[in-house]
Amino acid sequence: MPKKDEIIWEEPTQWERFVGSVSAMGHSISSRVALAGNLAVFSFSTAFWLLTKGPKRETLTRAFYNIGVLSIPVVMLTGAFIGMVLAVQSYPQFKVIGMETRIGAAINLSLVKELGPVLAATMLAGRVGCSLAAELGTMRVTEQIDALASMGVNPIHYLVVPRFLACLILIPGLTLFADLMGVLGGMSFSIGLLNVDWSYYWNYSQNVVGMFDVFAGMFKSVFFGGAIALICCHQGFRCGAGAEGVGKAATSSFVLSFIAILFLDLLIDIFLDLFQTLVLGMSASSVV
Amino acid sequence: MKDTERAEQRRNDAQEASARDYQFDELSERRESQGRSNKIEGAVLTTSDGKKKTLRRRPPLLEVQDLNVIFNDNQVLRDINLKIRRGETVAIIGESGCGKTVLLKNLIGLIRPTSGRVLFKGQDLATLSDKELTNARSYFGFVFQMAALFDSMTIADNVSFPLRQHRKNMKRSEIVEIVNRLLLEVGLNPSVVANKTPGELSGGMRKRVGFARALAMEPEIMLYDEPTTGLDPIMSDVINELMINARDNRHVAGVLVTHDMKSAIKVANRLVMLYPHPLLGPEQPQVIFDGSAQEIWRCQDKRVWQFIRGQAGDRIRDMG
Repeated sequence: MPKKDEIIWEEPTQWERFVGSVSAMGHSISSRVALAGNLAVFSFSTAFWLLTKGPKRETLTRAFYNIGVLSIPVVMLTGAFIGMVLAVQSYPQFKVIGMETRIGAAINLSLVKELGPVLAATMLAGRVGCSLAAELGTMRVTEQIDALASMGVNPIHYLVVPRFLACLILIPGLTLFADLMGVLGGMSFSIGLLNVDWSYYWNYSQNVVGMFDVFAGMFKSVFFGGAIALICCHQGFRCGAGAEGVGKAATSSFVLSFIAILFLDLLIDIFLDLFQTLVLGMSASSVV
Repeated sequence: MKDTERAEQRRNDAQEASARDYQFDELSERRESQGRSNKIEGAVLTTSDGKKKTLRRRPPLLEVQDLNVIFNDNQVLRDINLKIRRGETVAIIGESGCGKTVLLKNLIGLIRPTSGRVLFKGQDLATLSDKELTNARSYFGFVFQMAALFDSMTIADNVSFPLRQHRKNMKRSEIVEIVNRLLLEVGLNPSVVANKTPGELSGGMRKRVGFARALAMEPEIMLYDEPTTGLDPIMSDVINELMINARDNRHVAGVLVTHDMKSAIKVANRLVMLYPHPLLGPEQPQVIFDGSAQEIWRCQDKRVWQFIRGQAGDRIRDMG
């Protein structure tokens, strides 16, 4: 048993505070490196179970319904408002240079290539990702994940694989919905309220937006979907104790997913740009 | 062979194995008391009816060897050694934070030891592949402290969950029959509770559903994590009776983690007491008692008798 004078609390000196803050910084860095490593192991484990044993139909159907079907309204609403906001913001700029008839090209290109996928993914990171982290976090806290393992059921196979597949497959589809609603929102606002001629609107849009642009947006969204699923499920699995732990898991799952979306967006844009220039070459320029 | 017949066969095997182990241990103890070698590998035992039986040493059902568990810099378990024989129920007691639940989760591989081994039927759980570990876990039943039922499923789906996962060829009607039987066994009316969700049941009912789920796979060993915590005295005793029933009628071995002394003494054949690691000296063992319920009342260790009588004494000074 420690002596009484060893356990009395004393205010730390300035030197001890400095050492403490350096130590806290080191601890924070090492815990982030450990988190990245842990996420990598988790991702490999998900890939392993995905490739070796398919998920059960009942778990897959539930995941598809929760992640896909229930997200349609929010994604469509987001898409429609992005389209309309783009119209409001770009119209005065185009009008100054007398090119307001070309507004459709600007709205639709930015929608299908950039804003549609990124904002749809952001909305899904909020709606689907936080819900995944909170659901799995609660299961961790209430020992339901341990219960699965104790019954000889691998929790990653049972819980993560169906959710990962649902995000991977359905998020591109949801992005398409966002794009569609964005195009319709932008068009209805521009033609209905800003009096842009509809034939010019569509002709310029058709000339600028090509299939490659639509493909680029969808291609990105596959990666966004995979990243959201892995990050959020991982945060749920490593959730700390109690209500605070679940809250933190939900918050950090959104923040990390958002960072991952922006980072992947940049990487994929660079890759697609190189692909368009080096591989497609002429055909890429002919689209524009 | 039908699943019900297979379950019956497994139960008989467990009963026979348990009896054999006890015979073996008795013989071993007798030889030791006579000052003879305790090595009785392949010894021949003459039974009361004159028949001769060859006894072979079998590994204990569950064995913990030099187990150490450290989380970050915090050591929770140090050099734990424990054997669980077929058919016996061992209660692990000790104050909160002494590592009882960590030890229990190590027994089924939910937590991996920092060093040391956990052997199930002689196989080290840490060396098993995912598939082998899954198979080994089908011999265990785990009753969680807060029941750990799946919120999104009905009670019937919760109880039948392990069967639906592992017995692919089992007919729906057979599963329904087993669910009904198990719910009745734990004192719940299937027609009332089967279609409810866990949120609609009381704490005691949820624990009994968790008990039924743990029994679904006809386990050879049950692990109970503080099963009576938070229950009224009557419901606590119902859970005690269920544990005794599992031991005596199903011949299932058990490890009961609890600080409910009444429950430990009523249910367990053997009590093992752990002491919190931070309060131990460098050479002191963490297992401070291992013996029967009768022996624990005669134990002279102050730490043991303070715990079993619920007397804090000067302990408040050590707590931090």
